[in-house]
Amino acid sequence: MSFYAAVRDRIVSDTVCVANLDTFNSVPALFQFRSHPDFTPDETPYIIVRRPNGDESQATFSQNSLRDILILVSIYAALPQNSTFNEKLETLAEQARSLFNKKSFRYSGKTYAASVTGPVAVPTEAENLLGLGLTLRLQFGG
Amino acid sequence: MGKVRSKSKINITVGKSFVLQKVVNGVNAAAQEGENAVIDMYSLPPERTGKKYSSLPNRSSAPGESPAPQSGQTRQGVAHVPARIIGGFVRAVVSSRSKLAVMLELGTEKMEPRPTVSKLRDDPVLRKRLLKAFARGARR
Repeated sequence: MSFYAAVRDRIVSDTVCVANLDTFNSVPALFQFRSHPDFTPDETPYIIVRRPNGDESQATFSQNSLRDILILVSIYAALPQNSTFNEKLETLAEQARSLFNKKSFRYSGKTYAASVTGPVAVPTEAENLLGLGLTLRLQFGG
Repeated sequence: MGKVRSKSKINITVGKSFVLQKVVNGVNAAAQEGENAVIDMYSLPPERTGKKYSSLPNRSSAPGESPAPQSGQTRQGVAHVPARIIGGFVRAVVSSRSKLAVMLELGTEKMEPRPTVSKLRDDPVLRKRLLKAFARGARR
């Protein structure tokens, strides 16, 4: 099981997130590393779960190891026509944050302590696209 | 038998001001070290492992690596704001003024992130380097 799958499973099991998330080929638009070339963004947000930005180990031979993992979760959506903001984008970002912040995160038989920074604005290349990013910090000791 | 006692008087106000100046010196030293570290990360070596575009002089970075220097503009934009006392904190800022730096740092909808400045916060080796710089600066 990958980190992406573990993050995806938690998000798609939440009804508020699913209600505010776009679909791609009938599944929630939650991509790993980058969006599909055939996917066209619109006003309904989609999510990209990036590969871990950091994965630090402070293991020693005699002491329990601390693994410190950072995963960037980026949420993008187009600005609705005749509007100055995208409410679904903010709702999804805040809900995703609440799913992970100060919660335990089970992955590959180990339990990590999760904390979240953000959502903060992330840059986009397309002019009409808005982006919010969350940084998930997963820490495992022992 | 008599006792030997030593009395010291510390003027709290002067003492606080003295300690605060040391902290400011330390934070400034750490910020300068942070700026140096970011410039190092924007430089070669090590060689990056991404695509080699014919229009660019150096091989580009792969996701997760620090960006490769091409024109040098992102590296030139790295600077730090000296320490200021804000709301009970002594704060300095290391940043890059380049717009491209933000896109590289956080990624875009088409490009994966190439974190660099955030490594000052997240990389334990760099954090130690900043703490050592703080200690050196605070001793001055």
